[in-house]
Amino acid sequence: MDITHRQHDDNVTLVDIVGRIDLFSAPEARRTLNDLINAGHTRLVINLAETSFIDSSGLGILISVLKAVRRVHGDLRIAAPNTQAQTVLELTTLDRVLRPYATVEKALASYQ
Amino acid sequence: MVLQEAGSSLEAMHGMLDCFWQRLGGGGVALDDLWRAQFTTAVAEIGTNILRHAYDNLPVVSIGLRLRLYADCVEARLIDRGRPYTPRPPAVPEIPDDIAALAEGGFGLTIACAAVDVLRYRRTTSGVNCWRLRKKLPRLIAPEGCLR
Repeated sequence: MDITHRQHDDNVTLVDIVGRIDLFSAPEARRTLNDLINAGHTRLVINLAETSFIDSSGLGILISVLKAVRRVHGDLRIAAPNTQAQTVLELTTLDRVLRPYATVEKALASYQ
Repeated sequence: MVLQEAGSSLEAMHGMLDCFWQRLGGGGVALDDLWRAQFTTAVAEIGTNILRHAYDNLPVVSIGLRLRLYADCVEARLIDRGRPYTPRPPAVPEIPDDIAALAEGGFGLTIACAAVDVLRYRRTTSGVNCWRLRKKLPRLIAPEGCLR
């Protein structure tokens, strides 16, 4: 799993997660995302377009990030989940709070 | 069709599932992305559950996985010799009004249960944990005679 980020504009940071988020890669993802939030990146778009698989460990991290950014009046958008990621969100009904956007562009636009 | 691999980690488990789907596709059993995603996710969640609870998150352990195609379903059996599992009824997470109160874990069995038609666990008298997952095949997906 690889995580990279780039500043989209003054307010929004785009995070790309490539590969699988599972029991073993989740701690690294958690550390990286927490570091970003602590550095002041509190309006995030997490791009799952290249995320091949996400399990309940990964889902837990997304919830943790959502809670962390909301605490500091930020927010989180999930973009471009594949069928598997969408399935996990729907089976747990967590798509109600981690509402996925079909594309990165739509997720970014939602912050406007 | 039976594939077996012991001593697998999650990496091997995903590799084995990928291989299984390829072999089914090669045999004319066309399953759509959603169906495969649900079954793969359920198997992976049970594998993760074994690593977490039976082996305390050790990175490499011995898990046996057998995948089998039946006329009406696909079945996965996972076995391990870790600690026994104490089953808890899975529950769909509650979505509280206050996001701060939202649970960050405990979704694994919920996902697995919702993604397949049958999920069973038993501990044998010889100390083996046995998980069985079954998911019904969509009707009329396979060419006649392919499954028999």
